[in-house]
Amino acid sequence: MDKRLIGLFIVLFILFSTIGSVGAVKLVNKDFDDHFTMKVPKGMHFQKDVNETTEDGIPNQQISYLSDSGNIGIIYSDSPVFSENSTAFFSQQMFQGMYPDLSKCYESHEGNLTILEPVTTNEQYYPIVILSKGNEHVVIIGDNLSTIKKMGHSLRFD
Amino acid sequence: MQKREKIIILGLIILIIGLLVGLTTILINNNSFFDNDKVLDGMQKYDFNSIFKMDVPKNVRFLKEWNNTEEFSLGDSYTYLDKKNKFAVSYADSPMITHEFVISNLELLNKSGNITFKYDNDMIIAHNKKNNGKIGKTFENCHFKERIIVQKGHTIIFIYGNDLDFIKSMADTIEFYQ
Repeated sequence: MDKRLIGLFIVLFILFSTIGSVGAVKLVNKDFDDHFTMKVPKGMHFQKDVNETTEDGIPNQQISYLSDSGNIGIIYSDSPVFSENSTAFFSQQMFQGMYPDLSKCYESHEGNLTILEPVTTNEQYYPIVILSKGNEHVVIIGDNLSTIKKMGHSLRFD
Repeated sequence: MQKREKIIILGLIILIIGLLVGLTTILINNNSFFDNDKVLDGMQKYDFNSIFKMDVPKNVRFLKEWNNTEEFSLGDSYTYLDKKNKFAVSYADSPMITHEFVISNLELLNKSGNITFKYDNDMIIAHNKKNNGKIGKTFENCHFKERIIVQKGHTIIFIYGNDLDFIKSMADTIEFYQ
C-alpha cells in the first residue's frame, strides 16, 4: 500500500480519536455520603447543602450537591411521604417546582430512569433525571442530557 | 371390593390426576394468574403522575402539558401526546367531574352533531365525526377521530387516537392507584 495512504490513515485515526475523547466525558465512581454511589465526570467537585426538617412529626432529609462548575446538580431526598409508587408524581412536582413558568416538557423512561426535558433546553432550563428506591429519590439536573442519563444509569442505592 | 369397582376407582384417580396436571399447566402457562403486572406485547406499563397506570408502546416519548398553577383552573389536568404512535392521553382531576357532568357534556356534543358515543362496560367510546385524524405538533393541534373515556370518582381519563382497537387495548389496562 502507498506509504502516503498509510500516513493519511494514521493521521485520520489520531484526529478522530482526539475528537472522540474530547466529546466523551470520562465518568468515575463517587460515593455520596453512604446514601448512594454514582459515576460523575472525572475531576468534578461538589458543594453540599443539607436540609433536614420535621413536618407534623414526619422527618424529611434533603441533600443538594452542586458541581463547582455549576452545570450539574444532584438532589437526594429521603421522605416517608414519597414512595416508589409516587415517583411519577414526585418527578412532576420537582419539575414544576424548579420551572414554575413552564407548562410543558418531554417525558420518557429509560430503565428505572424518569427523564423530563424542557421543550427548549438552555442555561435557564436543564433536563432532569429521577431515580427512586423506596422512600429515597435522586434528582440529577444538568446541561448535558447524555451525561446525566449515564450518571443515572450508574446510580446504586446503598 | 369387586374388580369392576377397583377399575372405576382407579379410573377416577387417573382422571383427577390428569385434571390437576392440566390445571397446573394452564396456571403456569398463563402468567396472569400469578402476575398482575403482565404487560401486552411491545408495551410497557406507564405511570401517569401516580394517578393511574396504563400500558403504552415501549419507548414512548410524550410531550406532556399541564395547566399552569398560576392560571385559574377548576382542577389539575395533564395531556400526554405521543406523535410517533399517534395517540394522546389526558386526565383531569376536579370536584366538578361527576358521571352526570360527563354524560351531559357528551349529550350536548352529540346533539350538535359533532360526536356519537356508546357505552362499552366501564368505558364510553366517542367518535368525532368532524375530525380528520390530523396529528399536530401539540395536543391542541391534533384532531383525533376516536376517544375513549374512563371516569372514576372525580378523575376522568381520555385516550385519543385514530385506531380504535389500539386505544381500546390500552384503555383496557388502566389501573387506578386509589
